[in-house]
Amino acid sequence: MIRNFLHLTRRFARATQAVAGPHRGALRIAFLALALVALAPNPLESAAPPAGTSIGNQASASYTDSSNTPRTATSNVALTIVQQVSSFALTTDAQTKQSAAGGQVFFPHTISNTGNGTDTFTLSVTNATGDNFDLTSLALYADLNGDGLPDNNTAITSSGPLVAGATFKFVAVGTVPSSATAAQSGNITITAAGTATASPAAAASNTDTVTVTANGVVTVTQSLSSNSGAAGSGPYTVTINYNNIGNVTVTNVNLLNVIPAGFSYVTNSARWSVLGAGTALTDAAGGAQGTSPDTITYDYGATVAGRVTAVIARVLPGQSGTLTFTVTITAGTQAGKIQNPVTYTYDPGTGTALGPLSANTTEFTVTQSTGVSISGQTVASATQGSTVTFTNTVQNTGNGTDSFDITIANTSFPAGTTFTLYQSDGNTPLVDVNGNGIPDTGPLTTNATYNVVVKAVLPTGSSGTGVNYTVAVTATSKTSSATTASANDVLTSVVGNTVDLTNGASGGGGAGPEVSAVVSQSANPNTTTRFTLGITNTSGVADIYNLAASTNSGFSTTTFPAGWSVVFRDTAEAIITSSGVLNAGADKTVYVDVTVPTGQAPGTNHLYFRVTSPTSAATDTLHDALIINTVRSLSFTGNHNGQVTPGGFVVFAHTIVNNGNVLEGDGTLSSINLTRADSLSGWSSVIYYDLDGDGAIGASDPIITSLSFVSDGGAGLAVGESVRLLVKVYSPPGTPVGTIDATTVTATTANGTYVTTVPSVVLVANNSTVISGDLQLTKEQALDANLDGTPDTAYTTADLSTGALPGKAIRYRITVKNNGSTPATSVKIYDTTPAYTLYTSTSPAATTVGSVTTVPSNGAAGALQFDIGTLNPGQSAVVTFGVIIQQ
Amino acid sequence: MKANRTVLTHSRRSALAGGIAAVCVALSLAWTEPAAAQSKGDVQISLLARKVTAAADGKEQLIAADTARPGEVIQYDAVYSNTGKKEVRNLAPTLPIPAGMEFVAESAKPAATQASLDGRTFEAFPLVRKIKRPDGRVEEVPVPFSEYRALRWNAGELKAGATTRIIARARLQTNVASR
Repeated sequence: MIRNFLHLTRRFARATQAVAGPHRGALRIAFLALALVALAPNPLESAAPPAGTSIGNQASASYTDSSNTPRTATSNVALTIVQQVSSFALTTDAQTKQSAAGGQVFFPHTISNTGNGTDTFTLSVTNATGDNFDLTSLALYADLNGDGLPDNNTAITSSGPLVAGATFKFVAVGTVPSSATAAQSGNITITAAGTATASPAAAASNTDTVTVTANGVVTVTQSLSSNSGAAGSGPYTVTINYNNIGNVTVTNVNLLNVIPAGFSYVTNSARWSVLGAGTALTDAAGGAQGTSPDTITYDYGATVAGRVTAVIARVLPGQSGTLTFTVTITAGTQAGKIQNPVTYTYDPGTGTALGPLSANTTEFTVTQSTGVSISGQTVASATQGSTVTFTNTVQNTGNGTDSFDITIANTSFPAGTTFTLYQSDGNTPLVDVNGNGIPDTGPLTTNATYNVVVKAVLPTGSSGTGVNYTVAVTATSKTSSATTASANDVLTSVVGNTVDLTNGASGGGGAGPEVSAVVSQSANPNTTTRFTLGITNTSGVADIYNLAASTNSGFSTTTFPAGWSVVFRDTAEAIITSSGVLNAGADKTVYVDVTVPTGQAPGTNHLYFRVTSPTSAATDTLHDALIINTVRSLSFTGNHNGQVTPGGFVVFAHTIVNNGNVLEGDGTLSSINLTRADSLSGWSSVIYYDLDGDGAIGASDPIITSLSFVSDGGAGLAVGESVRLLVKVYSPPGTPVGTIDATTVTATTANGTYVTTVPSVVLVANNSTVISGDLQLTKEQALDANLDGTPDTAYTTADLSTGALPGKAIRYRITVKNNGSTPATSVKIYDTTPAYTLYTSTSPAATTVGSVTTVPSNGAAGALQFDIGTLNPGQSAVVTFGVIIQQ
Repeated sequence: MKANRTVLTHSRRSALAGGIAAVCVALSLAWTEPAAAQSKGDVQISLLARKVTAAADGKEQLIAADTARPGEVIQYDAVYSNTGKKEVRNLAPTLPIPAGMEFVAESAKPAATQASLDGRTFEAFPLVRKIKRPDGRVEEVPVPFSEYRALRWNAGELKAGATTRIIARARLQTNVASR
């Protein structure tokens, strides 16, 4: 069914080819070539669908449903089967011929099947009534070679099956009765009828007339040595046969043959049977040849341009002869049929010329030869990722209308290139017009050209100069697949995409990274600094860029040191990692917020910002810098009050921290000297470094006067480092009870090699109050994570560094010991729950001596009091209680 | 709720795909299973092909067009019914003119608003094209109806339960040429 539709599909597709691009209201078509097709009569223009074809139709609709979703619907298929209609043409009607009584006459006829299916036509010939006589031996004979004479002596009554469009030639032959007299005439009727369909009855008839004459009668028939051949082929012999079938000598038989277009007359090829093959007839105008009175006066093109003119002086009754000449088929002749008609005149003996009369017309079929040429195009340069357009001109160099399949083979375009074929307008895709599934040019007449547009979409990642990317475009004849032509489309260079990353008006234009920072900004540790960047797409096509930052110009790492953060933002403050699409020439401002941590060392930090297109690989790097200021700062904490017995000592703990961003006090860069002063004379104090970290002065803890000792792996205070100092204050013996001494410790920084301003002097002050007695009070703590009232670890005076989380309990143990030599009486211990803690009654407050007097209620904060009573020399009392850290 | 929405989307998609496939089949005039081309959406379409003949009284008569001869005229009636519960909008009925047939002028009822030479690209009705004469003049000429391959209407909104109908006639082409 589809094959049956082929020629219709072709029409359909040609219409498709004419569809316009986006232009509203007017359909654009390929000018010229197609316009010619549209204007020229085309045998396919209105071809009936072949019988048996199913024509289906299916309505459809597009719509949007209630949820605004576009949808489509289709109907059932309505089918109609095309029926056969008989149709034919019978020619030629109303032929007239003369004959002597008893002569034989030949009437050539042609039947053409103009229906839409194969048909067999019955053929018959009958004598008409109402005339003077009937022909005898009346019959029809096939004349397949078209020479106007029967091919054989087998009479026919049928054309045999003729496919749609086919023709059949035959001859009606009859004999004039010898009884007929001059001027009488007889008519015969040739009738043809189709048999494929009963209704409507398809029948037609021609009427031929033969008139009897007593004069001479010349019949002329002609034939070709072959009925088909290619353009340029030959020679072919044209044989014109004449015969005087009358009873009187005729004179001046003129044989006239206008050589039709497509035939080329071969010089000096004419021969006359009377003179024989050895005597060439002169083509030029000249005298008679032969022996008078049987002469011939022959010329080609002299009497009438382009015509064979032969005048035979005399033909006796019953005499016949032939005139032959040869022709070749002109090179470049269109495929198709060439008709060669021959006419003649003669003097039948009456002194008056008769005619012109027509001999049969021969037909030569010029077979189709195919040929095609195609030209390519070289494009000098295109931008990266762009679409390159090549125009290829295809020309039909064959001698018949042909269509050419277009195929492309990529020779050297980079992988990822996509090729698309377009019609001449460059917008409408090239489609399959000739129905073989391959896009083609559509029908092209001989020498017609058609521009096939090849568009190559370059992959975004490829560029280079002198790459000479090549794609081969091949045109293949639909008529003969062996006829092909190829041409190369070449793209010489691909200009790479470029991008420029700058600090805007502050500079940085051109390819980076710059040798030195374009913009340098200063910042303190623990601050955020904003850099403003400008991205400009300097390419001819849109592109998109990923953003990156590094401390390294080669971007060997994009990881910044701990505590740093680098964030790209657009002008709307949204965090971005890509520029978004930037059209050709467009630019965009991007912020980079660089945050540095506390303690960041002073100095210049080189920053490299980079934009890179993930598609085209266009990139640029910008060199900026962030200069961290030097910050020098110390803190010294722990102002304490303590009690000391006369002649005893008390220890105060202090912490000194380097809050700056440079090492301090190592003795080289700078020195931090510690000085102490007591407000009362006789008092003394010593400063220890709590090397072992236990909060108490131990054997290993050194006495210090500066911070140049090695701690935390190095001399002095590193950035952020803190150390604990223990200050031991001695009271002079005999100091009165109630005396208060203020011990001040001062840390003073002096520059060594440093040149910046030293940190401020920091100090701590401790007050020591002299008490009598020798009671020594020690408070220790331990974690009770499981809240069972029992310490998880041993009691210690050290800090609880881990586990003291909200909801956990802490146990306290206070030991009071009489170190004196006399009993201490009315000893009472007071304490309160620390801030953010609440008393717990699990394992409630207890004392080993005396009694618990006051405790807060369970879960409340408040004071505790223990009445110990008397402690003898050397005796100790221990009280314990627990608190829970508030959640 | 979310799952329901997902399922709904899925069914729409398959309905749409079915529709497209069906249209392609119609254009190539090669169908194997007409039943498969039936749409499952809210709009149901029934297409009737009938042959226009002259009755004994000289009036027009429509008879079944299972078969037809070149030169005869087929009338296509397409009835669009909204079988859904909601109205549909932007309804654009499309009727192909099969290859081998020629649209009969003035026969579209209501008048078609658009036409196409390939069944895909539609332009305002009637179609015109520009041609270049040998002397270089460019003229806009009407495209012969014989090249029309589809008609399209703009039916706008179709209420739930409503129907609309389009009619167009096409003649089977004949062999004009005779020797």
